[in-house]
Amino acid sequence: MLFNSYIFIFAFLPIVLFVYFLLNHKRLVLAAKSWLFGSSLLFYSWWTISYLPLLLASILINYTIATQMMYCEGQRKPGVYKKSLLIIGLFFNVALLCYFKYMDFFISNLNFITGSNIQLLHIAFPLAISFFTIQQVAFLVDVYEGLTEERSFIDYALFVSFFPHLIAGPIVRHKEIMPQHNDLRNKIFSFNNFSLGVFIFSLGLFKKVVIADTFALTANRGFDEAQLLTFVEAWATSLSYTFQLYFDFSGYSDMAMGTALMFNINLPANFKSPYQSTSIIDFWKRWHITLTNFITVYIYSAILRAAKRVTLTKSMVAIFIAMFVSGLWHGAAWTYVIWGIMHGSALIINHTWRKLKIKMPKFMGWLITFNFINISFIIFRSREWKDFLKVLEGMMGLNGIIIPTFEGMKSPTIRQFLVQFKPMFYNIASYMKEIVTLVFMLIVFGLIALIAKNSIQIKENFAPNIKYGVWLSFMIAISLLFVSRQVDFIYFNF
Amino acid sequence: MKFMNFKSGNKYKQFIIIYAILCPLILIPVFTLFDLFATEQFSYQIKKILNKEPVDILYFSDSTSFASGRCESSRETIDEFINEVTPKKILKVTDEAYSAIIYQDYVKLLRHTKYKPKLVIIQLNLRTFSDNWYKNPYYMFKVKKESISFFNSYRFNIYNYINYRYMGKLDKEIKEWKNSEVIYGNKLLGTNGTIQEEIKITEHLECLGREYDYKEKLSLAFRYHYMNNIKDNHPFFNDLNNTLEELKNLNIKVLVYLTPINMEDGVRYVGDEFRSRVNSNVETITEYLKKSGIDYIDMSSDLRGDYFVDKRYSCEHVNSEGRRQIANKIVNFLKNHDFD
Repeated sequence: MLFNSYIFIFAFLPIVLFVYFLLNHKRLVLAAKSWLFGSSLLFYSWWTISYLPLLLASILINYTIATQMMYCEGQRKPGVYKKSLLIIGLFFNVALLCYFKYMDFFISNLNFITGSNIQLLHIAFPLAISFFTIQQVAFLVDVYEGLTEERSFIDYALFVSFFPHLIAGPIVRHKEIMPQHNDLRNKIFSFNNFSLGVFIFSLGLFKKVVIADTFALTANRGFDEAQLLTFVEAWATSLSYTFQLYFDFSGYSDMAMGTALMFNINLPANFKSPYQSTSIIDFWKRWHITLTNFITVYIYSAILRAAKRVTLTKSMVAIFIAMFVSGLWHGAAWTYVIWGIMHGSALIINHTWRKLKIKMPKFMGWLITFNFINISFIIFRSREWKDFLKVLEGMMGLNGIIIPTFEGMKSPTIRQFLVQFKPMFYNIASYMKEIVTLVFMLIVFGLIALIAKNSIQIKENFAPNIKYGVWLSFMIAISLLFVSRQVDFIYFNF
Repeated sequence: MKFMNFKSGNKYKQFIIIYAILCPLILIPVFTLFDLFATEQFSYQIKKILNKEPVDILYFSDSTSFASGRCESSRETIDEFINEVTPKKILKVTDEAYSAIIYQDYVKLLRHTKYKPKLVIIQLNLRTFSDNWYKNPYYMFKVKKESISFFNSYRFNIYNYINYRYMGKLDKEIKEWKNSEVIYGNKLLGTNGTIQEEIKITEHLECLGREYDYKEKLSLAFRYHYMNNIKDNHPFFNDLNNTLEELKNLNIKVLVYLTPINMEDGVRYVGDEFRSRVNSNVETITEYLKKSGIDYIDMSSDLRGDYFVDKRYSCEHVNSEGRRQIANKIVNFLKNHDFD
C-alpha cells in the first residue's frame, strides 16, 4: 500500500487510528499493539502477500537470537556465547540480504570474470528487505552491547514492522522508538499531535505527488527515452532527477513522520535541507540521516574499534569502506558502488581539506558540493553506462548547445516568444506547457530545496493558526487532485 | 457552539475540521474552476470580443499557422500576412494539433454571442485523419471540451474534468493508444507506440539539411501520417460535419482550406505510391466538402519541399514564405469569390 493512495488516506489510516485508540481507551494495550502489528502486516502485504512469510521469519529469527543473547548470562562463558549468537544473527541478516538482493549481481560478475555461464536466479526482490534487515542488525548489536533489550515478542514485532517506517525508513533504533510505544501517555489520542501529524503528512504528500512526480516526467524522459541530450536538456534532466530524488524521499519521510505522529510516535528526522550543504561532510549530516547514523555507528565506528589505534589514515579508510557499503546497500549494480566510492572519496578530500585548514567561501563550497551531488546522482540514476555518458556529455555541451535566436527574442506575442524555446527541450518535452511547467518547477521548487525551511524547522514552528491552516488546505486540495498519478517511491527499489 | 469554543484543547480539533476537511472541500472545485479559466483562453476571448463588436474572420487553425521552426528569422503568422494584404478584423483560435475535433465545440459558443463573424476559415490538416492524431487521446481534447462546455453553458462535468486533467485517465488512454495497432489498408505498420519510437529523430534537421540521412525513419513517418486510406465514413467527418452544420445554422459563411503537406519529400522517401494515396485521400475530402456545399481551397500539394521546416517528423509546419503564400491564396480566393 502506498501512502499516496486514496485507500491509505481515506480507509486504512482512519480505521487503524480509530481502532488503535479505541482499544487503548478500553485499556486493552496488548490488543492495541497487536492491532497495530496486524495492520502493519496488512499494509506490507497489500502489494503481494508472498513477501509476508519472509518478513515474519526474519522477525522471528532475529527475536529468538536477541532473546537468547539477553538470557545468556547464566551460561558458562556468557561472552563467547553472546558473541557467537551475534555472529549468527549478523550472518543470517547479511545472508538474507545477499541472497535476495545481490545473488544475481554476484553471478553476473562471476560470469564476467571467469567466462562461465551460470544462469541468473531472477529472485524476486522482497519489498523493504534492505530497511527491516539493517534495522534488526542494529538491534542485535545494541542488545549485544547492552544498550537495549526487548523480551516481548509483540513489542519487538511492532518495532520492526510499524507501518510508517517499515517500507523505506526512517531507520529507527529500538531504544528511541519502543519507549514511545510503551509510554502510557501516548495511548491517549491527542489532537495536538494529530494536527501536526496531518500537517507533516500533507507536506510530504505534496512533495511527493505534486513536486517529485512532476520532476520524474522529465527525468525519466531524459534518462530512459532520449537518445541524445543537448546542453540545456542534459542539465534539466540531471537537475530534475536531483530534485525528484530529494522531494520523493523527503516526502516519503515526512509522510512516515506525519503518520507516526498521529499515533503519538516521534520518528527521527531523515532530511535537513541537504541541498543547502556547503560541504560533503555537511551533506551527509543532512541527507538520509538515519542511514548515515547507522553507517557511522555500526560500520565506521566498528572498523575504527577493530583498528584499535585510530589514525587519520585509518579513519579515511574506514570512511571509504563505509561509503562503499552504503553504495552497495542502495542496489546491486556497479553504478551504486561507484556512487558510494565517489562520496567516500569526496569525504576523504573534504576531511583532508579541513585538516589543512584551507578556507573556502561558503558560496563556493555550496556550488562545488551541489554540483558534485548533482553529478553523482546521474550515475546513481543511470541504468546503464551509456545513460550516464549521455547525460554527462550533454551537460558538457558535447552534443550541442541550442539557444533562442536573436530574432526570436523579438517575437511580437508571448506564444511566439515561448515557441522558439521548444527546440531547446525537444528530447525531453513535446509540448509547450510541459516546457513551461519544467522551467517553473526547476526555478520555484529548486529554490525551495535550496533556501526554504525544511520539515523539521516547520514542525518546530507549527501552530494551529491561519497561516498553517491555509497552507494545509492548499496542500491537501492540490495533492488530492494529483494522488491518482501513482508513481512508486524511488527508495522502494533499495 | 461547543465547536466554536477556542479553548486550547479545542483549537487543534477546529484546525483539523476547518483546514483539513472543510477548506479542501471548497478549494478543490475552486482550483478546478481556476485551472479551467487559466487553460482555456480562447473561449473567453470569443465570448468577450464577439459580445463587444463584430469581427470579419474567425480563423480556426493549428500550429501550421504560426512559426515553429528553430531557424526561422521571420515569425509572422498567417493571419498577420492576411492583414498585410487586406486589413481585416481577425479573431484566431489556433493551437497545436487543433482540428474540427475541438472546433465543433468552439463554434457552439457563437450561438450566444451578440455578434457573429462574417466568415469562418477552417484549416484542415491531412494528418488529422491518421492514427497518429485522430485516435491519439491527447488530441481528442477531452479536458478542453469540458472547459469550453463551461464557457458555453456554465455547466460541465467536473468529475470528467478532474479525471482527465489530474487523475491520470488521459495517461491510461494514451497508454492504450500506444499499444493499439496501426493498420492502413491491409498493412500493419506497427503499434502507435513503436512507430513513435521508430520515427523519432533527435537531430535538429531544419538547420542542417541532412534529413536524407534518416530516410528510413522519414519514410515510415510519411506513411504513418498521410497514407491511411481515408474513406467517407472516417469518424473525423462527423466532427467536421458538426462544425459546418453549426455554422450553417448560424448563417455564417465558411471557407475550408487543406493545409499543404510536403509532397516532394513524401515522394522522395516513400515513392510515387505516396502521391497517389494522398491524392486519393484529398479527393475523398474534397468530395465531402463539395457535397456539403462548402467553399474550399486545396493547398495540399501547393508548396515545394523547401518551404517546410521541422523536417525531422514530416510535419506540415512551413516557413515564413510558405505562410505568406498560404495567406495570399486565402486572400485571392476571398476576393474572387465575393467574400468581402
